[in-house]
Amino acid sequence: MIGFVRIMDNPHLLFSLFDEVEVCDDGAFVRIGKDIPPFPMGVASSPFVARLAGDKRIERGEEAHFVGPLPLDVLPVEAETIRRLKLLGFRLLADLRTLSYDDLALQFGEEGEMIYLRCRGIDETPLSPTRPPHSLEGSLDLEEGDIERDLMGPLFSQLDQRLVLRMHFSFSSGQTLQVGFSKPTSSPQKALRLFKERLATLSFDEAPATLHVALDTVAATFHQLSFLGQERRRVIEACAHLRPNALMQCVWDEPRARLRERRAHLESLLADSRRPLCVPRPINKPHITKVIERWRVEEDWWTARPIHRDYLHVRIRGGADKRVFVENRQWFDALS
Amino acid sequence: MLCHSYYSFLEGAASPEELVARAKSLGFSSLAITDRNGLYGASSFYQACVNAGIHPVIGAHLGDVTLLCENGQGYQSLGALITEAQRRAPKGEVAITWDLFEKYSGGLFCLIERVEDIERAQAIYGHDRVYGMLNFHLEEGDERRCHKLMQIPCVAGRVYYAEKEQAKLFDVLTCIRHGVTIENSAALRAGNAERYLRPLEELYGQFRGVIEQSEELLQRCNVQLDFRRFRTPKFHGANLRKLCEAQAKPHHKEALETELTLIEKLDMTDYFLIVWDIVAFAKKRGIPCQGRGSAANSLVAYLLGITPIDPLEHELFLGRFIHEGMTNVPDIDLDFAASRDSGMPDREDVIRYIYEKYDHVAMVATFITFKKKMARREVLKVMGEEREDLIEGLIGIPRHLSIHVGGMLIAARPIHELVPLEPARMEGRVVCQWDKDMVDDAGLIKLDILSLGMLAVLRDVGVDYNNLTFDDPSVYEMISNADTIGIFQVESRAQMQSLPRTRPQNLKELAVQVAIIRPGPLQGNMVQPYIKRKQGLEPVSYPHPSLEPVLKETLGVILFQEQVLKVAVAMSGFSEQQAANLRRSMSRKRSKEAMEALRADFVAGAEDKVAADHTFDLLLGFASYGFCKSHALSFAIIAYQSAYLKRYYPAHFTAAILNNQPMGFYPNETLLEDAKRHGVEILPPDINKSRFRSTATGKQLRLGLNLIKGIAEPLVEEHQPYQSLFQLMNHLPRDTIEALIEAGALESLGISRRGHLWQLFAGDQPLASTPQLPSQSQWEKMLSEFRMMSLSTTGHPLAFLRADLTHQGYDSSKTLRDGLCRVVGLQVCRQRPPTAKGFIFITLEDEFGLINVIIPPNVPADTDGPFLSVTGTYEGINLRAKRVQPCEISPP
Repeated sequence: MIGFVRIMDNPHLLFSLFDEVEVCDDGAFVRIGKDIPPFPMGVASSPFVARLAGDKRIERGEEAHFVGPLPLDVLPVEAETIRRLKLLGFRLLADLRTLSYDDLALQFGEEGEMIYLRCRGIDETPLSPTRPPHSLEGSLDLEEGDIERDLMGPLFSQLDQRLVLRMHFSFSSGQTLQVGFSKPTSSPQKALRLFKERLATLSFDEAPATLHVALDTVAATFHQLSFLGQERRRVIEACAHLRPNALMQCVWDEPRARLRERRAHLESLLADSRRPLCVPRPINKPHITKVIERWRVEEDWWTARPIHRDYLHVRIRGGADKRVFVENRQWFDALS
Repeated sequence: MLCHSYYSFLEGAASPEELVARAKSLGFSSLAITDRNGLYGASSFYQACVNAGIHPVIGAHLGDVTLLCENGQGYQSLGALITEAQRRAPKGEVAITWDLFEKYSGGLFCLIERVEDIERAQAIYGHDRVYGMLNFHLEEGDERRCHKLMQIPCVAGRVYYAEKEQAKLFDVLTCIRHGVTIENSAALRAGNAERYLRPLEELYGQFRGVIEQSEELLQRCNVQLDFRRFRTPKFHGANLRKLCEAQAKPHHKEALETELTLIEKLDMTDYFLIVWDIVAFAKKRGIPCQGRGSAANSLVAYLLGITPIDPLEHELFLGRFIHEGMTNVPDIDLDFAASRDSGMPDREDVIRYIYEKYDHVAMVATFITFKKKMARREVLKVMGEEREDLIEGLIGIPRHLSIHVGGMLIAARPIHELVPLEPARMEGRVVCQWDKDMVDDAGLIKLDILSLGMLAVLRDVGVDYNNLTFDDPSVYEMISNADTIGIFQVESRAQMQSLPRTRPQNLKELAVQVAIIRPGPLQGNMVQPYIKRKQGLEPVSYPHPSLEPVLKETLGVILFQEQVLKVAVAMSGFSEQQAANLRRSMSRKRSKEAMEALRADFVAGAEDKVAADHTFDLLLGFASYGFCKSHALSFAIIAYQSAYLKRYYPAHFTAAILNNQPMGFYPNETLLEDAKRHGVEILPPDINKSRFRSTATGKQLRLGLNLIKGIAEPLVEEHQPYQSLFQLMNHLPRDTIEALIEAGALESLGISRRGHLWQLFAGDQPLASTPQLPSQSQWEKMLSEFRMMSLSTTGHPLAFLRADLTHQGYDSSKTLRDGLCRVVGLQVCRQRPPTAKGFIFITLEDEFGLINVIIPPNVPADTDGPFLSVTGTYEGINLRAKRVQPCEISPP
């Protein structure tokens, strides 16, 4: 008998439970022996009927009776064929049984032959078992100055269609910090929530040097595709959440700040906009000997943190050229 | 300073008027408009400058170069240059090359932005006519670029908005132009908000000599935008006086002499002859046409056959059209039949004739501006949220140029010397860069060559209308009973509501009816008083006793534009010119602001200040939407003619409407149901009996094959009669045949629709036999006809369900009685007029007739879906809804 599972929480389980698994767009077919399947699924003698059976078991000989009252749309034929059949007045699979094999074949060719069989619940198509996909992973070196980049972007573009389940940061000291889960969870929503919570509570002793993202190979099947299809925005949010963490590097570079103050600063960054922020380095007003050029930047007026800066390209005492800006009467180093 | 106005289409955020106002507040003595690729804003800018006492300079921004007109010759050069650059490029773009600059360089100053252009520009324009343009906006690199350019004399650069606060709007416009969100637009947007109009010293003080050179250059530019002397070409070959006198009756003589003298004085003789020539052409070609609007006040227009109304007979007021001392010549609007699919000559032939006969012709433009809905959508797209300040800011800003529905400019000189031209989408047509108000301001004359479907209907029915006397009581009875589906101008739901109360009994009252159910009178609260007075439920009163002679015919309410003029003269002693200005301000955009400016004069001139102030409020409510009486009469004539056809030739009338759709308020299905109620037998489309268009014989109407979806050409007619499906298959595409079968057009061939479909799907070879196919019920036939034609001759959908609906306690339009009731109907019309304070008006249809539903604002109503179920209280004419919801219709 053939079983059909439409929605799967744990698709990787199928590969461990059944010898023959055929993954298709909307579920998976499995070959069932004499045992009762471990969870509800449609079971029938043929893939066509099993797919339509929901969580029922259709015994041999009952197929025609079962498919008779179903609408034409369940037929695996071109939409145009369905349209024509409807125009001709057919509504249910049972209605089609009034047409002879020759009539159907003459009118619809190969599809007509198939319609003749399917409307009687007959489908002798064999299973084509598929293999689980290979693993996929990637890593990214974090460098000084990379802080404004979308760190996760390149990785996520590689792993576009997959759910990230494990992520760990490596530090130059050799320390690693793992974020994620040691084994696949049964609920993608729960996974994402835990993942985000973990990110939000992250605290590093030093700036991370490498970010490593790995994907559980077995879990990367259709349910995760649909998960990311619906939840892509939330994953992106999680990435955005990560970015301010990376900015800690700048804050912590300030040697005079006490640890408690740093942390306070960090929290305020996390609480505000998730846009990538460059944390400017405040400086004392430099001793300017010449203004080479000045310009003004007014940006982000639509955000809670609009930017209004007067930039100066100056020569300072000692002869060096420097770009600085003034915002809210505070001087900053423009290269920060 | 040089300005981009919002006529640079998304490259400027301020109107010319805003820029000029700001310049005035800053004490500028001169200002230049240099919009991108055109002179779209030049006319408005010029007028605003003249009004503000600022020296206007006209120019344009083309590629990397900005050109300023030194004089009239420069203006002509610039117009020709832009016209050719537009002509050479795809629509909406310009193709600018140095050879083009060279070809049209006379009278222009050239402002360059790049050092590498200096040599080339100087070679073309001469050293003393080329300036560097310092676009200093406090951006990184600006200062360096400006200093590099200062090897030649330089002037201050351009601005893109009037006030600093408009920078946000400018950013949004930039995002709209590039189709990006604000978040993703950093590389495309300006980096700051410094592109606003301000004292030159603030930015350009550091560049030596630039301020002085800027002021000096603008003062050297001097262009007058007044083209009155070029407005009409001389018309040869006819004499206006003789043409009129040939048609005049004795009682016309005195008025004709007065009007002809005035026309000659206003130099409008050629204009009248041109219009006469166009109308004569149309009549010769059998194209129904009729003048509308204020021109119908003119006896000359009547005698020339331009308008259908004798103004003396109807006491029309010539002053609404022309009067002593006027400087701008009014439009004459002409309606022509539009003949869809008929192959008959129509408005397009008239336009072609004008292009062929006259040398200098162009279509007038119209600016598509951001309306609230579009502004909201664009702001949402750009900002990711609806920000009211930005939405409000966007409203009214031009988005792109389009062609006015019928405005044509006929001039005595090449039009590109007056205003640049652009190619229109239609081959051989050109559109000028100004809209109708701008054309008017420049003293040019336009004609409105409009299309009116009802004229084609009148022609198609083919009655001789010359003998109609407009006094048939049965026609007025039908109108008064609101039996007006399909009748011109009085078929709307609002008209139907008022007709049984106003009960027009002659042409004048019909004209009042046409004019009264419009936004102007509704907003001015003039409708209810008129109706009550007409019914005798309240006495006739006047805002002031002095207005009785003016308002007597409309029972004391101000209804016609002519009355506005007369009120102004009678109450406040306005001169004809002042009154005309008041009237004119009504038809302009922002008319309320313009009219408020006239309030002071209006009140000052009146003896009774309180009454004058109140009367002026009435006029304000009337602004912009009011009819002139002559126009209402012109339309009333067509309304009567169409009502006459409906009364005496209902089958032919309905067929003609079907053939000229889209027009009017109602879908075909409703028109046919109405025709049935007038005794017309509706025959289904038939492959051998139908023509491409619907036809009528006696009281039978045969539906045309063009009603079937996908049949857009009269292919089918060519090979009639057809004996079999296979004969059809030799001539027609498969999907066309399928549509014909589904619509029931092949039933006369003797095989069922499904039998034909089986054979069609099987291909070219005839089948030996057709299997037993499910039989098709009447309900299914009706559905397939609706699918193919949006109508059914098998029956109204609700007729099949009536027994069931009655069983469930539903009323029909036939059984409605005053009191609580419940109905189901097909939604044929839904209106939510802005003047109705949140009320929704829906017209439902069942197999017996129409049901008018009023949904008060406090009733939650779900009106999505073709069928609605309404529970409410029936009050004589209307069903006042208490509950409205979509109704799923399932087969009986």
